[in-house]
Amino acid sequence: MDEIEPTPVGKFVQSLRARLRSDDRNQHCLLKGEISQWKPYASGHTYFSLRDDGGQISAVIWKGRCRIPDGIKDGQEVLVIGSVDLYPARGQLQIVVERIELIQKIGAMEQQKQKLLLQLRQEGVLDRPRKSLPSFPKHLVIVTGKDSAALADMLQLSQSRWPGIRTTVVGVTVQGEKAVEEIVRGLAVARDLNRESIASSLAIPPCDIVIVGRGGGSPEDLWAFNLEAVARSIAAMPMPVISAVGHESDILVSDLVADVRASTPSHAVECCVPLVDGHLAYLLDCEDRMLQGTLRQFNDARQQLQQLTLRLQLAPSKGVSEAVRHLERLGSDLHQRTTAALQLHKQRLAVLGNALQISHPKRVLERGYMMGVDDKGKVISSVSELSKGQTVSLQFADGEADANIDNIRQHEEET
Amino acid sequence: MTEETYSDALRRLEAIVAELERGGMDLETTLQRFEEGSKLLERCQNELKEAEGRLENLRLPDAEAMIDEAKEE
Repeated sequence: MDEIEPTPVGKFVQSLRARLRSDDRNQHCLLKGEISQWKPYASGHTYFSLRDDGGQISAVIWKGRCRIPDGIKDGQEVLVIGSVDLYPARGQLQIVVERIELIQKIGAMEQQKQKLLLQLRQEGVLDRPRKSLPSFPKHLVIVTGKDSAALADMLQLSQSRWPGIRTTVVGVTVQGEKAVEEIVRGLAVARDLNRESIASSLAIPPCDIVIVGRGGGSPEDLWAFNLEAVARSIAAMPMPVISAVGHESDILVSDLVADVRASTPSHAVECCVPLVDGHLAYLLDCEDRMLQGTLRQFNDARQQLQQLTLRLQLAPSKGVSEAVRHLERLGSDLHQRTTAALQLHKQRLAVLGNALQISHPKRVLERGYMMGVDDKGKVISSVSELSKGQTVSLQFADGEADANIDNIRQHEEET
Repeated sequence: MTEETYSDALRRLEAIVAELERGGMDLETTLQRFEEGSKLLERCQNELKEAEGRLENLRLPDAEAMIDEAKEE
Protein backbone atom coordinates (compact mmCIF):
# COMPACT_ATOMS: atom_id res chain seq x y z
CA MET A 1 0.00 0.00 0.00
CA ASP A 2 1.37 3.31 -1.12
CA GLU A 3 2.08 5.80 1.54
CA ILE A 4 0.00 8.97 1.08
CA GLU A 5 2.06 12.10 1.36
CA PRO A 6 0.41 14.43 3.95
CA THR A 7 -0.44 17.97 2.86
CA PRO A 8 0.85 20.72 5.07
CA VAL A 9 -2.22 22.49 6.51
CA GLY A 10 -1.04 25.89 5.35
CA LYS A 11 -0.79 24.64 1.78
CA PHE A 12 -4.20 23.00 2.16
CA VAL A 13 -5.80 26.22 3.40
CA GLN A 14 -4.15 28.21 0.60
CA SER A 15 -5.42 25.83 -2.05
CA LEU A 16 -8.89 25.87 -0.48
CA ARG A 17 -8.78 29.67 -0.57
CA ALA A 18 -7.78 29.67 -4.23
CA ARG A 19 -10.66 27.34 -5.08
CA LEU A 20 -13.14 29.53 -3.15
CA ARG A 21 -11.96 32.68 -4.83
CA SER A 22 -11.97 31.21 -8.31
CA ASP A 23 -15.69 30.48 -8.16
CA ASP A 24 -17.69 33.41 -9.56
CA ARG A 25 -20.61 32.48 -7.34
CA ASN A 26 -18.53 33.60 -4.36
CA GLN A 27 -17.83 37.01 -5.86
CA HIS A 28 -19.89 40.19 -5.29
CA CYS A 29 -22.71 38.45 -3.41
CA LEU A 30 -25.64 40.60 -2.29
CA LEU A 31 -26.53 39.67 1.31
CA LYS A 32 -29.06 40.87 3.82
CA GLY A 33 -28.60 40.43 7.58
CA GLU A 34 -28.19 41.96 10.99
CA ILE A 35 -24.96 43.37 12.35
CA SER A 36 -23.42 41.83 15.44
CA GLN A 37 -20.07 42.32 17.14
CA TRP A 38 -19.36 45.53 15.19
CA LYS A 39 -15.68 46.30 15.89
CA PRO A 40 -13.75 49.11 14.24
CA TYR A 41 -10.00 48.63 14.84
CA ALA A 42 -7.34 51.28 15.20
CA SER A 43 -5.75 49.95 12.00
CA GLY A 44 -8.81 51.28 10.13
CA HIS A 45 -10.25 47.86 9.34
CA THR A 46 -13.68 46.97 10.72
CA TYR A 47 -14.78 43.46 11.71
CA PHE A 48 -18.32 42.27 12.38
CA SER A 49 -20.66 39.34 11.88
CA LEU A 50 -23.57 39.30 9.53
CA ARG A 51 -26.34 37.10 10.93
CA ASP A 52 -29.98 36.19 10.84
CA ASP A 53 -32.00 33.40 12.41
CA GLY A 54 -30.69 30.87 9.86
CA GLY A 55 -26.94 31.44 10.33
CA GLN A 56 -24.03 33.84 10.39
CA ILE A 57 -20.72 34.67 8.72
CA SER A 58 -17.78 36.88 9.66
CA ALA A 59 -17.26 40.01 7.65
CA VAL A 60 -14.47 42.54 7.23
CA ILE A 61 -14.38 46.05 5.82
CA TRP A 62 -10.81 46.83 4.81
CA LYS A 63 -9.69 50.33 5.59
CA GLY A 64 -11.03 52.82 3.03
CA ARG A 65 -12.45 50.05 0.84
CA CYS A 66 -16.02 51.27 1.21
CA ARG A 67 -17.95 54.03 2.89
CA ILE A 68 -19.41 53.11 6.26
CA PRO A 69 -22.87 54.57 6.98
CA ASP A 70 -22.99 57.03 9.86
CA GLY A 71 -24.24 55.67 13.19
CA ILE A 72 -24.00 52.01 12.30
CA LYS A 73 -24.32 49.67 15.30
CA ASP A 74 -25.17 46.13 16.38
CA GLY A 75 -28.65 44.91 15.66
CA GLN A 76 -29.18 47.06 12.57
CA GLU A 77 -30.34 45.46 9.34
CA VAL A 78 -27.95 46.02 6.46
CA LEU A 79 -27.49 45.19 2.82
CA VAL A 80 -23.98 44.04 2.03
CA ILE A 81 -22.22 43.45 -1.25
CA GLY A 82 -19.10 41.36 -0.75
CA SER A 83 -16.95 38.43 -1.85
CA VAL A 84 -16.22 35.21 0.02
CA ASP A 85 -12.69 34.71 1.25
CA LEU A 86 -10.81 32.44 3.61
CA TYR A 87 -8.57 34.06 6.20
CA PRO A 88 -5.65 31.59 6.12
CA ALA A 89 -4.14 32.52 9.46
CA ARG A 90 -7.24 31.37 11.31
CA GLY A 91 -8.88 29.26 8.65
CA GLN A 92 -11.88 31.48 8.95
CA LEU A 93 -14.45 31.96 6.22
CA GLN A 94 -15.40 35.61 5.83
CA ILE A 95 -17.10 38.16 3.62
CA VAL A 96 -14.88 40.96 2.37
CA VAL A 97 -17.34 43.84 2.21
CA GLU A 98 -17.40 46.05 -0.90
CA ARG A 99 -20.50 48.03 0.01
CA ILE A 100 -22.75 48.28 3.03
CA GLU A 101 -26.05 50.15 3.43
CA LEU A 102 -28.44 50.44 6.35
CA ILE A 103 -31.82 49.08 5.30
CA GLN A 104 -33.77 51.05 7.89
CA LYS A 105 -32.03 54.26 6.97
CA ILE A 106 -32.71 53.82 3.29
CA GLY A 107 -36.38 53.29 4.09
CA ALA A 108 -36.47 56.30 6.38
CA MET A 109 -34.71 58.49 3.82
CA GLU A 110 -37.05 57.38 1.07
CA GLN A 111 -40.02 58.33 3.28
CA GLN A 112 -38.47 61.72 3.93
CA LYS A 113 -37.92 62.25 0.20
CA GLN A 114 -41.54 61.40 -0.64
CA LYS A 115 -42.77 63.75 2.07
CA LEU A 116 -40.65 66.59 0.69
CA LEU A 117 -41.85 65.93 -2.87
CA LEU A 118 -45.46 66.01 -1.70
CA GLN A 119 -44.89 69.32 0.03
CA LEU A 120 -43.09 70.86 -2.96
CA ARG A 121 -45.89 69.69 -5.23
CA GLN A 122 -48.51 71.25 -2.97
CA GLU A 123 -46.59 74.52 -2.99
CA GLY A 124 -46.47 74.43 -6.78
CA VAL A 125 -42.66 74.26 -6.87
CA LEU A 126 -42.64 71.10 -8.98
CA ASP A 127 -45.21 72.41 -11.46
CA ARG A 128 -43.82 75.93 -11.86
CA PRO A 129 -42.89 76.97 -15.39
CA ARG A 130 -39.31 76.10 -16.23
CA LYS A 131 -36.76 78.54 -17.60
CA SER A 132 -35.40 77.68 -21.01
CA LEU A 133 -31.67 77.31 -21.58
CA PRO A 134 -29.83 80.05 -23.46
CA SER A 135 -28.71 78.77 -26.85
CA PHE A 136 -25.37 80.47 -26.34
CA PRO A 137 -24.60 80.80 -22.63
CA LYS A 138 -22.14 83.56 -21.77
CA HIS A 139 -21.12 82.27 -18.39
CA LEU A 140 -21.53 78.75 -17.06
CA VAL A 141 -21.22 78.10 -13.33
CA ILE A 142 -20.67 74.51 -12.22
CA VAL A 143 -21.35 73.63 -8.59
CA THR A 144 -19.92 70.18 -7.97
CA GLY A 145 -17.37 68.14 -6.07
CA LYS A 146 -13.98 69.82 -6.10
CA ASP A 147 -11.39 67.88 -8.09
CA SER A 148 -13.97 65.18 -8.86
CA ALA A 149 -13.92 62.89 -11.87
CA ALA A 150 -17.34 64.24 -12.80
CA LEU A 151 -15.89 67.77 -12.94
CA ALA A 152 -12.93 66.66 -15.06
CA ASP A 153 -15.35 64.96 -17.49
CA MET A 154 -17.53 68.04 -17.70
CA LEU A 155 -14.64 70.43 -18.32
CA GLN A 156 -13.12 68.20 -20.95
CA LEU A 157 -16.40 67.78 -22.79
CA SER A 158 -17.20 71.48 -22.55
CA GLN A 159 -13.79 72.38 -23.96
CA SER A 160 -14.26 70.04 -26.91
CA ARG A 161 -17.73 71.45 -27.67
CA TRP A 162 -16.97 75.14 -27.37
CA PRO A 163 -13.56 76.33 -26.15
CA GLY A 164 -14.96 79.86 -26.08
CA ILE A 165 -17.32 79.38 -23.15
CA ARG A 166 -16.53 81.13 -19.87
CA THR A 167 -16.80 78.77 -16.91
CA THR A 168 -16.61 79.23 -13.18
CA VAL A 169 -16.35 76.10 -11.08
CA VAL A 170 -17.41 76.29 -7.45
CA GLY A 171 -15.91 73.21 -5.82
CA VAL A 172 -18.01 71.99 -2.90
CA THR A 173 -18.41 68.90 -0.75
CA VAL A 174 -21.13 66.79 -2.30
CA GLN A 175 -21.57 64.04 0.28
CA GLY A 176 -21.52 63.68 4.04
CA GLU A 177 -22.66 66.07 6.70
CA LYS A 178 -21.36 69.27 5.14
CA ALA A 179 -22.72 68.56 1.67
CA VAL A 180 -26.11 70.27 1.93
CA GLU A 181 -24.71 73.46 3.40
CA GLU A 182 -21.89 73.68 0.85
CA ILE A 183 -24.12 72.99 -2.15
CA VAL A 184 -26.50 75.71 -0.98
CA ARG A 185 -23.58 78.13 -0.54
CA GLY A 186 -22.23 77.16 -3.97
CA LEU A 187 -25.59 77.94 -5.52
CA ALA A 188 -25.58 81.27 -3.70
CA VAL A 189 -22.25 82.11 -5.36
CA ALA A 190 -23.79 81.31 -8.75
CA ARG A 191 -26.78 83.52 -7.92
CA ASP A 192 -24.44 86.38 -7.00
CA LEU A 193 -22.52 85.90 -10.25
CA ASN A 194 -25.82 86.40 -12.04
CA ARG A 195 -26.18 89.88 -10.53
CA GLU A 196 -25.33 92.65 -12.95
CA SER A 197 -23.46 94.74 -10.35
CA ILE A 198 -21.21 91.89 -9.24
CA ALA A 199 -20.57 90.66 -12.78
CA SER A 200 -19.60 94.14 -13.94
CA SER A 201 -17.33 94.74 -10.97
CA LEU A 202 -15.61 91.45 -11.79
CA ALA A 203 -15.62 92.46 -15.48
CA ILE A 204 -17.26 89.19 -16.52
CA PRO A 205 -20.57 88.40 -18.17
CA PRO A 206 -23.31 87.53 -15.66
CA CYS A 207 -23.80 83.84 -15.03
CA ASP A 208 -26.70 82.68 -17.20
CA ILE A 209 -26.62 78.91 -16.64
CA VAL A 210 -25.81 76.67 -13.68
CA ILE A 211 -25.00 72.99 -13.49
CA VAL A 212 -25.32 71.47 -10.03
CA GLY A 213 -24.48 67.83 -9.51
CA ARG A 214 -22.00 65.08 -8.92
CA GLY A 215 -21.01 61.67 -10.23
CA GLY A 216 -22.65 58.40 -9.28
CA GLY A 217 -22.60 56.87 -5.82
CA SER A 218 -24.72 55.05 -3.29
CA PRO A 219 -28.16 56.47 -2.43
CA GLU A 220 -26.62 57.85 0.74
CA ASP A 221 -23.82 59.52 -1.23
CA LEU A 222 -26.35 61.30 -3.39
CA TRP A 223 -28.67 62.12 -0.53
CA ALA A 224 -27.88 65.81 -0.19
CA PHE A 225 -29.61 66.31 -3.55
CA ASN A 226 -32.80 64.93 -2.02
CA LEU A 227 -32.93 67.46 0.78
CA GLU A 228 -35.15 70.49 1.17
CA ALA A 229 -32.49 73.19 1.46
CA VAL A 230 -30.85 72.18 -1.84
CA ALA A 231 -34.21 71.78 -3.58
CA ARG A 232 -35.39 75.23 -2.48
CA SER A 233 -32.10 76.88 -3.47
CA ILE A 234 -32.38 75.38 -6.95
CA ALA A 235 -36.02 76.43 -7.33
CA ALA A 236 -35.20 80.00 -6.28
CA MET A 237 -32.39 80.54 -8.81
CA PRO A 238 -33.00 83.44 -11.20
CA MET A 239 -31.27 81.66 -14.11
CA PRO A 240 -31.83 78.16 -15.50
CA VAL A 241 -30.37 75.32 -13.45
CA ILE A 242 -29.47 71.86 -14.73
CA SER A 243 -29.46 69.10 -12.13
CA ALA A 244 -26.94 66.39 -12.98
CA VAL A 245 -26.62 63.83 -10.24
CA GLY A 246 -25.26 60.32 -10.51
CA HIS A 247 -26.28 57.91 -13.20
CA GLU A 248 -29.16 57.53 -15.59
CA SER A 249 -31.39 55.75 -13.07
CA ASP A 250 -30.93 58.02 -10.06
CA ILE A 251 -33.82 60.46 -9.83
CA LEU A 252 -33.52 62.91 -7.00
CA VAL A 253 -35.52 65.84 -5.70
CA SER A 254 -32.99 68.23 -7.28
CA ASP A 255 -33.75 66.65 -10.67
CA LEU A 256 -37.44 67.30 -10.16
CA VAL A 257 -37.12 70.95 -9.15
CA ALA A 258 -34.39 72.01 -11.60
CA ASP A 259 -35.22 73.56 -14.97
CA VAL A 260 -33.54 70.67 -16.76
CA ARG A 261 -32.69 67.20 -15.52
CA ALA A 262 -29.55 65.74 -17.04
CA SER A 263 -28.98 62.03 -16.64
CA THR A 264 -25.25 62.48 -15.95
CA PRO A 265 -22.86 65.43 -15.46
CA SER A 266 -21.58 64.98 -19.03
CA HIS A 267 -25.12 65.05 -20.31
CA ALA A 268 -25.59 68.38 -18.51
CA VAL A 269 -22.71 69.83 -20.54
CA GLU A 270 -24.26 68.47 -23.72
CA CYS A 271 -27.50 70.21 -22.76
CA CYS A 272 -26.05 73.67 -22.35
CA VAL A 273 -22.66 74.02 -24.05
CA PRO A 274 -23.26 74.50 -27.76
CA LEU A 275 -21.39 72.36 -30.24
CA VAL A 276 -19.56 75.20 -31.92
CA ASP A 277 -18.64 73.22 -35.04
CA GLY A 278 -22.31 72.46 -35.58
CA HIS A 279 -23.17 76.14 -35.21
CA LEU A 280 -20.41 77.20 -37.56
CA ALA A 281 -21.65 74.65 -40.08
CA TYR A 282 -25.18 75.96 -39.64
CA LEU A 283 -23.96 79.53 -40.19
CA LEU A 284 -22.19 78.41 -43.37
CA ASP A 285 -25.44 76.83 -44.50
CA CYS A 286 -27.26 80.10 -43.77
CA GLU A 287 -24.65 81.96 -45.79
CA ASP A 288 -25.07 79.58 -48.70
CA ARG A 289 -28.85 79.81 -48.63
CA MET A 290 -28.69 83.59 -48.38
CA LEU A 291 -26.36 83.75 -51.37
CA GLN A 292 -28.48 81.35 -53.42
CA GLY A 293 -31.63 83.27 -52.54
CA THR A 294 -30.08 86.56 -53.57
CA LEU A 295 -28.65 85.12 -56.78
CA ARG A 296 -32.05 83.66 -57.62
CA GLN A 297 -33.63 87.08 -57.13
CA PHE A 298 -31.10 88.54 -59.52
CA ASN A 299 -31.55 85.72 -61.99
CA ASP A 300 -35.30 86.20 -61.82
CA ALA A 301 -34.81 89.87 -62.49
CA ARG A 302 -32.47 89.09 -65.38
CA GLN A 303 -34.95 86.66 -66.85
CA GLN A 304 -37.66 89.26 -66.53
CA LEU A 305 -35.41 91.69 -68.32
CA GLN A 306 -34.71 89.15 -71.02
CA GLN A 307 -38.39 88.55 -71.45
CA LEU A 308 -39.01 92.28 -71.72
CA THR A 309 -36.25 92.61 -74.26
CA LEU A 310 -37.72 89.73 -76.17
CA ARG A 311 -41.11 91.37 -76.11
CA LEU A 312 -39.59 94.64 -77.25
CA GLN A 313 -37.85 92.85 -80.08
CA LEU A 314 -41.07 91.08 -80.81
CA ALA A 315 -43.14 94.27 -80.92
CA PRO A 316 -41.60 95.76 -84.14
CA SER A 317 -41.33 92.39 -85.81
CA LYS A 318 -44.99 92.05 -85.17
CA GLY A 319 -45.36 95.30 -87.20
CA VAL A 320 -43.12 93.89 -89.83
CA SER A 321 -45.06 90.73 -90.15
CA GLU A 322 -48.18 92.79 -90.51
CA ALA A 323 -46.42 94.79 -93.10
CA VAL A 324 -45.44 91.56 -94.75
CA ARG A 325 -49.01 90.40 -94.64
CA HIS A 326 -50.01 93.76 -96.04
CA LEU A 327 -47.39 93.38 -98.71
CA GLU A 328 -48.54 89.88 -99.39
CA ARG A 329 -52.06 91.16 -99.67
CA LEU A 330 -50.82 93.90 -101.92
CA GLY A 331 -48.77 91.39 -103.84
CA SER A 332 -51.66 89.11 -104.49
CA ASP A 333 -53.75 92.13 -105.41
CA LEU A 334 -51.06 93.21 -107.76
CA HIS A 335 -50.88 89.76 -109.25
CA GLN A 336 -54.58 89.65 -109.75
CA ARG A 337 -54.64 93.09 -111.19
CA THR A 338 -51.64 92.41 -113.40
CA THR A 339 -53.19 89.22 -114.63
CA ALA A 340 -56.38 91.12 -115.37
CA ALA A 341 -54.41 93.84 -117.08
CA LEU A 342 -52.49 91.33 -119.12
CA GLN A 343 -55.72 89.61 -120.04
CA LEU A 344 -57.10 92.93 -121.19
CA HIS A 345 -53.93 93.58 -123.02
CA LYS A 346 -54.12 90.22 -124.78
CA GLN A 347 -57.68 90.89 -125.78
CA ARG A 348 -56.66 94.24 -127.10
CA LEU A 349 -53.81 92.65 -128.98
CA ALA A 350 -56.22 90.14 -130.44
CA VAL A 351 -58.49 92.94 -131.56
CA LEU A 352 -55.51 94.77 -132.96
CA GLY A 353 -54.40 91.59 -134.68
CA ASN A 354 -57.77 91.27 -136.33
CA ALA A 355 -57.59 94.87 -137.37
CA LEU A 356 -54.15 94.29 -138.76
CA GLN A 357 -55.30 91.28 -140.61
CA ILE A 358 -58.13 93.27 -141.98
CA SER A 359 -55.78 96.02 -143.15
CA HIS A 360 -53.23 93.59 -144.70
CA PRO A 361 -52.47 94.67 -148.36
CA LYS A 362 -53.48 91.26 -149.69
CA ARG A 363 -56.95 91.76 -148.29
CA VAL A 364 -56.98 95.06 -150.25
CA LEU A 365 -55.78 93.31 -153.38
CA GLU A 366 -58.50 90.74 -152.93
CA ARG A 367 -60.96 93.58 -153.27
CA GLY A 368 -59.63 94.27 -156.91
CA TYR A 369 -56.69 96.56 -156.20
CA MET A 370 -53.09 95.87 -157.25
CA MET A 371 -49.72 97.00 -155.89
CA GLY A 372 -46.72 98.17 -157.93
CA VAL A 373 -43.33 97.06 -156.62
CA ASP A 374 -39.96 98.12 -158.14
CA ASP A 375 -37.18 95.73 -158.89
CA LYS A 376 -35.97 96.01 -155.29
CA GLY A 377 -39.35 94.90 -153.91
CA LYS A 378 -40.24 98.37 -152.73
CA VAL A 379 -43.84 99.36 -152.98
CA ILE A 380 -44.25 102.25 -155.40
CA SER A 381 -46.60 104.73 -153.85
CA SER A 382 -45.94 107.76 -156.17
CA VAL A 383 -45.56 108.26 -159.96
CA SER A 384 -42.51 110.31 -159.17
CA GLU A 385 -40.70 107.14 -158.25
CA LEU A 386 -41.23 105.87 -161.82
CA SER A 387 -39.21 106.55 -164.94
CA LYS A 388 -40.11 105.88 -168.60
CA GLY A 389 -39.25 102.40 -169.83
CA GLN A 390 -38.94 101.08 -166.24
CA THR A 391 -40.23 97.60 -165.55
CA VAL A 392 -42.34 97.26 -162.45
CA SER A 393 -43.98 94.26 -160.92
CA LEU A 394 -47.75 94.47 -160.54
CA GLN A 395 -48.88 92.33 -157.67
CA PHE A 396 -52.41 90.95 -157.62
CA ALA A 397 -54.00 88.92 -154.88
CA ASP A 398 -53.45 85.68 -156.78
CA GLY A 399 -50.18 86.44 -158.68
CA GLU A 400 -48.03 89.09 -160.37
CA ALA A 401 -47.22 90.51 -163.71
CA ASP A 402 -44.39 92.70 -165.15
CA ALA A 403 -45.23 95.89 -166.91
CA ASN A 404 -43.28 98.62 -168.83
CA ILE A 405 -43.91 102.22 -168.03
CA ASP A 406 -44.80 104.22 -171.26
CA ASN A 407 -46.21 107.51 -170.13
CA ILE A 408 -45.97 109.19 -166.81
CA ARG A 409 -48.67 111.65 -165.81
CA GLN A 410 -48.38 113.30 -162.49
CA HIS A 411 -51.48 115.06 -161.03
CA GLU A 412 -51.04 118.65 -160.21
CA GLU A 413 -50.77 119.32 -156.56
CA GLU A 414 -53.93 120.56 -154.95
CA THR A 415 -53.54 123.71 -152.99
CA MET B 1 -22.03 91.11 -29.21
CA THR B 2 -22.96 94.29 -27.47
CA GLU B 3 -26.70 94.85 -27.51
CA GLU B 4 -27.99 91.92 -29.48
CA THR B 5 -27.35 88.45 -28.17
CA TYR B 6 -26.14 85.72 -30.45
CA SER B 7 -29.58 84.13 -30.57
CA ASP B 8 -31.23 87.45 -31.48
CA ALA B 9 -28.76 87.91 -34.31
CA LEU B 10 -29.24 84.32 -35.44
CA ARG B 11 -33.05 84.68 -35.41
CA ARG B 12 -32.84 87.83 -37.54
CA LEU B 13 -30.40 86.09 -39.88
CA GLU B 14 -32.75 83.13 -40.25
CA ALA B 15 -35.64 85.49 -41.03
CA ILE B 16 -33.55 87.17 -43.72
CA VAL B 17 -32.51 83.84 -45.22
CA ALA B 18 -36.17 82.77 -45.34
CA GLU B 19 -37.14 86.07 -46.95
CA LEU B 20 -34.44 85.80 -49.59
CA GLU B 21 -35.35 82.19 -50.31
CA ARG B 22 -39.01 83.13 -50.65
CA GLY B 23 -38.07 85.85 -53.14
CA GLY B 24 -40.44 88.33 -54.70
CA MET B 25 -38.65 91.43 -53.41
CA ASP B 26 -37.33 94.19 -55.58
CA LEU B 27 -33.61 94.19 -56.20
CA GLU B 28 -32.86 97.08 -53.91
CA THR B 29 -34.57 95.41 -50.94
CA THR B 30 -32.86 92.14 -51.86
CA LEU B 31 -29.49 93.86 -51.73
CA GLN B 32 -30.32 95.55 -48.44
CA ARG B 33 -31.34 92.24 -46.89
CA PHE B 34 -28.26 90.54 -48.25
CA GLU B 35 -26.00 93.18 -46.76
CA GLU B 36 -27.76 93.05 -43.40
CA GLY B 37 -27.59 89.26 -43.42
CA SER B 38 -23.89 89.29 -44.28
CA LYS B 39 -23.17 91.57 -41.33
CA LEU B 40 -25.19 89.42 -38.94
CA LEU B 41 -23.45 86.33 -40.25
CA GLU B 42 -20.04 87.84 -39.69
CA ARG B 43 -20.99 88.89 -36.16
CA CYS B 44 -22.25 85.42 -35.32
CA GLN B 45 -19.16 83.76 -36.73
CA ASN B 46 -16.90 86.13 -34.83
CA GLU B 47 -18.86 85.51 -31.65
CA LEU B 48 -18.13 81.80 -31.96
CA LYS B 49 -14.58 81.97 -33.20
CA GLU B 50 -13.20 84.85 -31.20
CA ALA B 51 -14.71 84.05 -27.81
CA GLU B 52 -11.86 83.42 -25.41
CA GLY B 53 -12.97 80.79 -22.97
CA ARG B 54 -11.84 81.46 -19.43
CA LEU B 55 -11.96 78.89 -16.69
CA GLU B 56 -11.98 79.80 -13.02
CA ASN B 57 -11.71 76.63 -10.98
CA LEU B 58 -12.39 77.79 -7.41
CA ARG B 59 -13.02 76.11 -4.12
CA LEU B 60 -16.11 77.34 -2.32
CA PRO B 61 -14.32 79.66 0.16
CA ASP B 62 -12.32 81.27 -2.66
CA ALA B 63 -15.44 81.74 -4.74
CA GLU B 64 -17.19 83.34 -1.79
CA ALA B 65 -14.21 85.60 -1.14
CA MET B 66 -14.30 86.71 -4.79
CA ILE B 67 -17.99 87.59 -4.47
CA ASP B 68 -17.45 89.45 -1.19
CA GLU B 69 -14.70 91.49 -2.78
CA ALA B 70 -16.93 92.34 -5.71
CA LYS B 71 -19.74 93.35 -3.38
CA GLU B 72 -17.46 95.74 -1.52
CA GLU B 73 -16.48 97.61 -4.67
